[in-house]
Amino acid sequence: MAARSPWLATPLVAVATFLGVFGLGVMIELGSWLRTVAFVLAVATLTVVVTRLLSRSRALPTLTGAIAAILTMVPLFAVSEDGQSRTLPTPGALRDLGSAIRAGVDYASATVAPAAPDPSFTALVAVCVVGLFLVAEHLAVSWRAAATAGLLLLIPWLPAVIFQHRVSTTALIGAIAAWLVTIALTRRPSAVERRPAIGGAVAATTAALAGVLLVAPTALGGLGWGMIPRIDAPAGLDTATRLNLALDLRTSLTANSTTPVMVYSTTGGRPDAFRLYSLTDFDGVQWSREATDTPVEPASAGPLWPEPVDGWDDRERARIEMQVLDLPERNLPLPPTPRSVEIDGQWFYDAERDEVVGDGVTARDMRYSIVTDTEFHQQEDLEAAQSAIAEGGGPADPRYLAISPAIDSTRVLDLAQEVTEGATTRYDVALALQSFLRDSSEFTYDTSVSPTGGDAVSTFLDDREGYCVQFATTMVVMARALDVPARMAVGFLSGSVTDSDTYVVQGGDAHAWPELWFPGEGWVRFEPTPAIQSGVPPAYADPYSGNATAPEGLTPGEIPGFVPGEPVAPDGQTPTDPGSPGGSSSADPAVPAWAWVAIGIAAALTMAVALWWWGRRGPGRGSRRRGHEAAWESLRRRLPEPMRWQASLTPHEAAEHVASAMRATGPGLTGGATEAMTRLAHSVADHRYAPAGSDVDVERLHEWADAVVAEVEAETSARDKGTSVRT
Amino acid sequence: MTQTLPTESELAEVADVTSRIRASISTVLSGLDQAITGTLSTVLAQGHLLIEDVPGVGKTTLARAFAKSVDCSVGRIQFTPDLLPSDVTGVSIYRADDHRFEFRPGPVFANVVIADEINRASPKTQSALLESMQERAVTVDGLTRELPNPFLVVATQNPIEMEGTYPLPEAQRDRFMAQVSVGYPHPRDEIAMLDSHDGVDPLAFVEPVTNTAALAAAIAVARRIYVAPAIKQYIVDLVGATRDEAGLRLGASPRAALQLLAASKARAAMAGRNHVLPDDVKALAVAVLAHRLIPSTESRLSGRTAQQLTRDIVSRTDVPISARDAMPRREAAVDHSQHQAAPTA
Repeated sequence: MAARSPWLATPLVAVATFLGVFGLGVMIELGSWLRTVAFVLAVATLTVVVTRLLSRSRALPTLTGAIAAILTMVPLFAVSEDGQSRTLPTPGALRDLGSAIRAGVDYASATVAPAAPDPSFTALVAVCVVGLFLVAEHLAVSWRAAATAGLLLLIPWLPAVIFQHRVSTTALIGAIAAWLVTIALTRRPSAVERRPAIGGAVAATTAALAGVLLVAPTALGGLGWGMIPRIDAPAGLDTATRLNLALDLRTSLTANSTTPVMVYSTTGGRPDAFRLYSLTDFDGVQWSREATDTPVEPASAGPLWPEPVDGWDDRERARIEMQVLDLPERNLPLPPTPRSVEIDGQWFYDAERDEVVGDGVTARDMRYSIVTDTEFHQQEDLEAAQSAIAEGGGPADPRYLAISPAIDSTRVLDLAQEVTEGATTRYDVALALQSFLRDSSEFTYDTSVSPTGGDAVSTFLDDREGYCVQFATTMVVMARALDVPARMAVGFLSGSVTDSDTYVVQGGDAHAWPELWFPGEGWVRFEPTPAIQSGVPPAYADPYSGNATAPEGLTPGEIPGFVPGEPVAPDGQTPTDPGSPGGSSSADPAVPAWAWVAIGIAAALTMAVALWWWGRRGPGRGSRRRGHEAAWESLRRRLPEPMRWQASLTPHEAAEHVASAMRATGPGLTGGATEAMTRLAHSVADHRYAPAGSDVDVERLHEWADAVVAEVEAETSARDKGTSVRT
Repeated sequence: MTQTLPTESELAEVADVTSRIRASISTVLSGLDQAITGTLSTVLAQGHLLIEDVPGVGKTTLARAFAKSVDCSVGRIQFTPDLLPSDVTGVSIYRADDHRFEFRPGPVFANVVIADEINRASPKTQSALLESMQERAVTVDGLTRELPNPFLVVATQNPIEMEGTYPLPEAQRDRFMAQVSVGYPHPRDEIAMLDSHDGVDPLAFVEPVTNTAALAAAIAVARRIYVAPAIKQYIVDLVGATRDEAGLRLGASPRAALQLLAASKARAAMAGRNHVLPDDVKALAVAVLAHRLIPSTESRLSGRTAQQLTRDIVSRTDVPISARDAMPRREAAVDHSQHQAAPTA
C-alpha cells in the first residue's frame, strides 16, 4: 500500500454527511433524534479514524466502522418482542435491529412528510446516514476520490431541491466547506510536484477564517456577530432592491428567518397580524417615511384608534400577553384593532400614523399586554359605511390618495376600473381588488423580483410575480386610483402555535399589507397576498367564508382566516417543530454567546494545529523524496533568492546559473565549490536521464550541496559585512 | 527492435569525427558554433538542413565547407525560376547508336546536395527535390533509383520577403529537420575573414577529414543513444506548448517531435554521451522547431518571430525530473528494475 491514507479527512466527511441531514428537513422533522444519529455517526467515525491510523488497508477501516455502527445501534434500537432492549449483539438482537429498521421503512411509507420520527424511523435514518458516511468516506479517503464522494454527499440535499424547501444555509455552507477541505486533504500528490504543502495551506486558510469569522467580530465588542454589518439580502420584505421600505425593519428580517421575534398568548380571538409601521408615501419604487412631529399622547390613555370609538371598553375583547424576543424596533407590535395597552416605560400613541411609539427601542424580554377588539370590523358595518362615504367622510390628508407621477396612473386606473366593475360600495371595491390580486391564475407568489424601471407597480403588473410588498403596494395604488384612501402597513403575520394558547412569531413572518379607510371603521386591513404566504384573508374580507359574522367562542387554531401552525412564511420556511415549544428562544439564554465564540475559536485552533502537524509529518515532506532529487531540491531551497534556479533549467544550466550569479555579486565560487556544484549537477543529470542512473552515494550529494551552500553563505555574509563597514 | 547502447569507443569515434569536421569548417567560417552544431546534428540524425539568411553571409560556403570536409560526392543545384524538375532528378535521353534510352542522373544523385536558393525555383521544381529528400529515391520513367547513403540536402534560401522568391509551403518546410542561420559575423571574425580571403578562396584549402563510411557509422551510433522517459516527456511538453501558444497560428507537428528527438540523440553522440540530456533538446529546439511554426498575425505585427516564441516556450517549460524517486516505494521498485534492463531495452 502506498502512503498512509489522509485519515484527517474522515471526520470532515462525517461532518459533511451529518450536515446533510439538515437538508432532509422537508421530509423529517428535525429534533432530538439528531443527537442519536450524531452519536452513532461519531462512533463509526472514531472507529474508522483509529483503524486508519493502525492499518494501511483500504477496506478494513470501512468494515470496522460498519461493525462499530451496528454494535452501537443494537442497544439503541433493538427491542425484543417482549419489550426488553438488547445490549449484546447476539443474533437475536441483530434480528431485532433488522426488524426495527423494517418498521422504520413501513413507518416512512405510511406517514406524511414531514415525519415526526419514532425510534424505528430514527434507526432507519441512522442506518442511512452511517451507510452514506461509510461509502463516501471509503471513496474519499481510501481511493482519494473525494470529488466523486461529493456526489454521494449531495443525496440528502436532493429532497430540499426537489420540493423547493429552504434549508439552513449554515448547514449547507458547512457541508460544502467540509467537502472542499476533504478534497484538499485527499489530493494525490503528483509525481512531478515540487512540494505538496496542502496541510500548511489548509491550516493557514482555517486560521485566517477563524480570525475573520470569530476573532475580529469579538474584538469589535459586544456579541461579536451583531457587530458585523448585515450585507445579505433580507429574506422577506426586502429581498429586492425595488421596494425598499426604508425602515429599520430590515434588522429583524435579515436575521435568520426562523429566529423567534416574539411570543404571545391570547385569551380570546387571535389577531391576523401585528402592525408596527404604517407608510403613506410611495414614489413608484420605494416607500418612504418622513419624520413627523404630530402630537402624541401617552399610549395607556385611551383607545388606540384614530377615530372615536363608541363604547370601546364594553365590547367583547381579547387580551394578548406579548413577550418581545429578538425585535429591536421603535414601535410596538399591535394587533389590527387595538384598544388599550399596558406597558412599562414611555410609550405614546401617534393617532396620525396609528402607531405606538417609544422613546427607545423594544428590548428583549419586554412584556406588555394589549386589549384588542378582534371582531370590531364586521361585513355589515363595512358595507354600511358606504353612506358615510357618500357624505364625504374620510381622512383629511390628501397623501392617502396621492399616486406618484412615476406610476402609469392611467393604466392602473383602467385596470382598477375593469377589475371593480359592478362594485357599488367601497367594501365591494376592496374585495374585488383583493380577489383579483389573490387570483393564482393572474399572479404568482415569488420572492425574487426583477429590478427594472422606475415604476414598480407596472413592472409587477407586467411580470405578475412578486411577494407581499408588490401585492400590497399594487392594491394601495389601485385603491387610491379609485379615490379610496389607502396606506401600507408593515409588521408580522400572527405566527404559529406552540402551545394551546401560545404562539410564536418568527422573523420569517414579516409581512406587509394594505389598509383601506372606511369612515367610522378606521383603517381596515385587507390581504391581497396569495394564501401561500398569508393564509386566508381576514374574516370580514373573505368572500368565500359564507359567514359574515365571526363565530362565537373561538379557540385558537379555529379562527377563520388562519391555518394554525401552517402559515408559510415569506421565504417558504415551514414553522418550527411544534413538539419542542419555545424552541431556541428558551434555549438561547442558557448558553451565553461568548461561550459559543470561545468554543468556535478553540475548535478552529485545534483544527489548525492538527492540520499544521499533519502537514509537517505527512507524506508531503521527506518520506517521498529521498535521494538525488531531494538533495538537489534542498540545495535549491537553501540558496539565497537570486541563485535559486527555475524549474525550466537543466541541472547543468542550474550549476552555471549559480556560478554566474556568484560571479555577478563577487569573486565567484572557488574551485572546490565549483567542482562540488558541477559534480552534483552531473550526478543529478545522470540520475534523471542516464540509462544506468547515477552511482554516486546520496550522502556525497548532500556533502557537495553543503559545500556549495557553505561557500555561498560565507561569501554573502562577508559581502554584507563589507558593505556595512564601508557605509 | 532491440538495440544495445553505444560503447565508449564508438562514442569516442563519433566525437572524434564530428570534432574534425567542425574544425575543418571553422577554418573557413569562424564564430559559427551553433550553426555548425545544427548542421552536424542534422547530418547524424539523417535529416536535411535549411539555411536561411540574407545573401552574402556564407550560407553556401557553410554547405560547401561541410561537403568538402567529407570525402563524398557533392551535387550542387543553383535554383532559378526556370529550373525544371528534370534538371534536379536527371533525365533519360535517347541514344541513337544503341537505340535505347539512357538515364543521365541529375545533381541530386550525390551524398551531399547543395540546393542554393531553393525558394527561387518554381514550386514544381521545389517539389521534385523535396520528394527525393523524403523518399531518398528518385523515380524517373517508372524506374525508381536509390539515392546514395548517406544522403544530405543542404538547402539555402533567402528570407521570403526578398524579391523573386517562391516561399516554401509549411508542409515542405516541415520536411527539413533543422533550419540554421549563419548571421553576420562578429567584427573580429569579419576582420579575420578579410585577411584569410585576401586573394585566395579558403574553401580551396579544405581537405576531406573523414569519409562516408565513418559518417554512416556515426549515424548508426547516434541512433542507439539512450533516451530517458523524462526526456521524451520534455519533448512532448515542448511540442505541446507550441500548439497551445497563443502567439502561434500553427504549432509543431508530431514529425517535429520525432526529429527533435533524433537531432538531440545526434548531439548527445557528438558529445560522447550515451544518453540525451535536456540540454541537448534545448540547444536544438529553436533550430528544429522554429521554422515549422507560423506566428499569429498579432505576433508578427508586434515583431515577435517564431524563433523568439520558441525560445520563450523553452525558457518557461519545466525540465522534467526523473520519475525515480518522486514515486511511492512500490513504483520506485518497478522503475529500478527497468533501470537495469535499460541497456538492452
